[in-house]
Amino acid sequence: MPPCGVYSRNYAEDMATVRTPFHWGLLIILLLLLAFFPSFATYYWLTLMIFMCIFVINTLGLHILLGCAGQISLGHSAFMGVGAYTSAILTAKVGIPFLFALPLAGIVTGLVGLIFGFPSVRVKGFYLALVTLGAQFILVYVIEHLEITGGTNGMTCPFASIGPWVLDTPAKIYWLTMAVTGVMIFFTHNLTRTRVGRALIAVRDNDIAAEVLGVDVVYYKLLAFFIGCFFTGIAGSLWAHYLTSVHPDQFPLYNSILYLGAIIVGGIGTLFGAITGAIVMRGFDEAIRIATPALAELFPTLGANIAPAIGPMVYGLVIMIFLIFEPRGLHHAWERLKSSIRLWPFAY
Amino acid sequence: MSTFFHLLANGLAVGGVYAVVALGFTLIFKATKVFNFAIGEFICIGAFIVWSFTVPFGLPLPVGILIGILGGGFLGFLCERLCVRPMIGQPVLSIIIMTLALSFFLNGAAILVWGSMPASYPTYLPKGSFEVAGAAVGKDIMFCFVATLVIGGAIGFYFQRAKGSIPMRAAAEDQQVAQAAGVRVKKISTLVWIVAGIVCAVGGLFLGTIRGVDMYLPEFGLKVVPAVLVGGLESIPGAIAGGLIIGVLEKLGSGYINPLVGGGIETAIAYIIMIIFLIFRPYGLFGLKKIERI
Amino acid sequence: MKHSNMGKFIVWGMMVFLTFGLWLGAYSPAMSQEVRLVKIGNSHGLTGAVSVAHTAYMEAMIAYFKDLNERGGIEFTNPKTGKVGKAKIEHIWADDGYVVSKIVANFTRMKGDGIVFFINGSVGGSLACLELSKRDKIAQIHAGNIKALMYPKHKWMVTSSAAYTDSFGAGIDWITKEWTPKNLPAGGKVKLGIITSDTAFGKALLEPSTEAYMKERGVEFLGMLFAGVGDIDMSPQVKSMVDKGANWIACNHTAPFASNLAKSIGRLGLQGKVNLFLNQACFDDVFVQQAGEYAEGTIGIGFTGHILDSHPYNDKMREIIKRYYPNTNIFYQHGNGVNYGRIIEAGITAALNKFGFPLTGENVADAFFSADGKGVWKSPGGLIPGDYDLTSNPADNAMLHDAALLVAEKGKLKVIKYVHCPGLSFR
Repeated sequence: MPPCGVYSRNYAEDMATVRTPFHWGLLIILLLLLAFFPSFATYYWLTLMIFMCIFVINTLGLHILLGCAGQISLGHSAFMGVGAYTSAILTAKVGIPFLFALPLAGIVTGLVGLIFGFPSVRVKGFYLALVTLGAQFILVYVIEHLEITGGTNGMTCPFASIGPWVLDTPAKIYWLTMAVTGVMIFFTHNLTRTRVGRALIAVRDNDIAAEVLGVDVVYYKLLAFFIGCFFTGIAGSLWAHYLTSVHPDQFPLYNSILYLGAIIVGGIGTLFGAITGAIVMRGFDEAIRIATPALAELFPTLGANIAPAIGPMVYGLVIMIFLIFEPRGLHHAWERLKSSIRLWPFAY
Repeated sequence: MSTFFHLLANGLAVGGVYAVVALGFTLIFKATKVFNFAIGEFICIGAFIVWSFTVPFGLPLPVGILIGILGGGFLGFLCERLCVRPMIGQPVLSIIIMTLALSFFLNGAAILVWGSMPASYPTYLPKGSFEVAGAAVGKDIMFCFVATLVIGGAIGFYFQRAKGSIPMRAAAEDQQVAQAAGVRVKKISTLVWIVAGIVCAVGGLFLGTIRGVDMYLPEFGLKVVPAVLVGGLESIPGAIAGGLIIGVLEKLGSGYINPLVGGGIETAIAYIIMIIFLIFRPYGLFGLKKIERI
Repeated sequence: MKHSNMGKFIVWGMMVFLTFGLWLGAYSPAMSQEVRLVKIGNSHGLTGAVSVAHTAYMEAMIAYFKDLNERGGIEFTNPKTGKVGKAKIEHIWADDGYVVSKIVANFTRMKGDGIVFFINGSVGGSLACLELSKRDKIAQIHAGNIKALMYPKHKWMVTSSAAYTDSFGAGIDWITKEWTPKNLPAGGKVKLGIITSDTAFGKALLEPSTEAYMKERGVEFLGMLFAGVGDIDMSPQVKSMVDKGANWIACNHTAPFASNLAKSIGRLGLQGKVNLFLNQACFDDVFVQQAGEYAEGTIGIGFTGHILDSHPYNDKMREIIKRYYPNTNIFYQHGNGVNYGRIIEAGITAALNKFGFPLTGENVADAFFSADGKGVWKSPGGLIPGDYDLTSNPADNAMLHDAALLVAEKGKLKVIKYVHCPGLSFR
């Protein structure tokens, strides 16, 4: 709910993203911080932000597919692989400049996603999840057995280059990734406010009712798959050009589950939830890995086994507790907090 | 032709082992509509429990197996109570993520208790192989195949025919209506998870006997997903049939197609067949037909 | 109320005295020996698919470096000052669950922490980190001995043993020269087939150069068949090979896979009629344990660093590992971790002696690979006769010349002899 004293006088104000001068101020400060981040950040934080941004773009794709259109996808890691390989092959073997390879990678991934999205016309819910699980295994298999992808040895690709600038330092890659992430967030946010977005939400909530009301469910389901995988392809391309090497092992099932977990933890259906979920999951992963050696020092005699074992245990436990106690995700918890602050000392 | 029979016979035998695991999936889904991704961990933990009591503690094997079965049942009970009960009424995606998170947790717990060292049981099955129509099938795999059919047959018979399972079938059909008719749905849910835990412990025992006990066992949980779908998610004969079919396809694929494509076709083929089934016959071979056209 | 001036004077005086004392102490003659820290990073899959091997590497390395530090650290002569100094190793380690994105994340985090060398344990991860190594100028050591990682040689990647192809070559040498005269009739041919997994790891056994080598040696190669990593029965593939007349089957993957292969051979009743050759990655105690009696008579090349052999150095290493991990079951793969430790100790000693303190990643890489041959070092414990040659000298053929040829007998691995691995991968 908006803060006290803020009213909407016309449709434009109601639909506005940024409502008050305070919001504008915060937004500008954030943008400045992000833009000048490399000047005061260490190598570790720069690379962490690059990973986070790629993760966020991936989660945004999944947000459109799952949060808006309600189609479960367990294969997003493999789709990212398709995008990464497409971009790598286009820049390394065909020689297309990066500026074209980036959207092309997205489009190719979108088309591949479309192929695996066709069953969504017939099956729903978790059967669709299993189709995408199949996509995860089949796509990785195909990548491993094509000549052009270098097979099981992977391949390398050059750095991204825009015109005369070669993006080979973490700072430059960070700017590229952050810019693309900003564009993607803007695009996703606006998507939900248009006719297409409303149609997707209708399909999610009750597809039979939507069909009855005249929404072309088949078209919108396929569109959701295309757009969702387009985002993932873009993320894959950025990943390939950061690492400058792609290998089938970089896209295992574990990552697909991670993206799904990010959406759930953040809150299904909201953009804020998707971004927060991505940041929290990734950060949590890092925190566990940093804490592992310290834990090992506490229990040394049980071998180098115990501390790493605690990692997955805590991870799984946190997600389970979250799902039991906070099923609507971080976004809902944040909204509750904001409301309680704004309403204080009143109860409602 | 003898190659074909060899592949077929081995495929059926291997499929029998997959069928046990598929049975675990199907039981849970049938009664509680939960797709349990943590089945792989149930198998792993069941196998390790049997090993723990047999080798380091030195108890005789039948006692070890019994304790393993009880342990598997207890694990199923715990998981149902702590993880599934609070999620009643939540959307299907949340439950999937819950079981995925549960699988991470159990994986970590298993490594914590038993480490990553592989282990093996003392041999208790006969060695060598049978000759079946010119094909050699290992005796130990054959034993597991027959045991699976017996177990699957018993459970299937109970679920389809026995009077005691009428409340279970009712709860599987529609939980609300069953509750209205006086069926204690929660009790049935717990019971089914315990049985599934036991079945998975037995599956772990079989897999451990044939290939050894190590931390690769949880992967078998995922391997069986195509089997469950092809057979039909809510049907026990379907689970067994699905397991056998996927086993056969795997062997036939690896025998005939692998040389053409350079290897590794087994998983891909299982999933391609699964997707084809999902498009044209989503309820599998034996599953219940649901009419919902879009 | 006025605080007593005397009180303030006492407090301030104490603080000045303490500061002065500490400063003096830090530069006192007793502490003039430079005790510096060299940071190295380590990322292995302690949970995940290959956790059994990686946990062993990690335990061995943690124990090795802790023991090294307790003994006082690495002693070096600072080339800039001529003083003898000591350097301790700060071993930063992490689990990566055998997932490449986590390996990359660990690498970047540790680079931020200031490591000068990185230890890595996965093929996919090493391939990804290879580019990062070149860019961020931090050399790595790893155990994924496939051709793509090892050649062309450059200073950012070190391996601790011969390439899989090279050790297979050593096996072919032994089979043709020593096994054939005793076991085949005159004029009999060795017919060899490969059954392996469909991964980079499994396929690394066969390079074009290996096929040519087999032809050279008169081995009839029957082709490569694949089995899934999770396959519980490989008898169709075995039968197919045997139908073609195979008397040797070779394999390269992890021990559980190899044990399934051995069991499949046994189930068909072919044990003794078809011989099994296992390459480095799979021939260890795990294999013997899981294959049980089906392992009897299997021949293979072991990872170097075979600390299950009786040798004074091996006894010392076993004692060191047991000191920190008393409950651990030492097996073959621990030896590989010890190997890493020794190579790193030697390399960092060479780097410190050449460049002094502080070290950069480039310094360490240069010390490992100096074209003037300074990268050669002699195995400290005489574990395996011969030298470890880590140079980028183009005349040098293999990363590691020698390996142990083992046989599985009565549930244990016995060394038959130490063999020289031909440098096939560079051809």
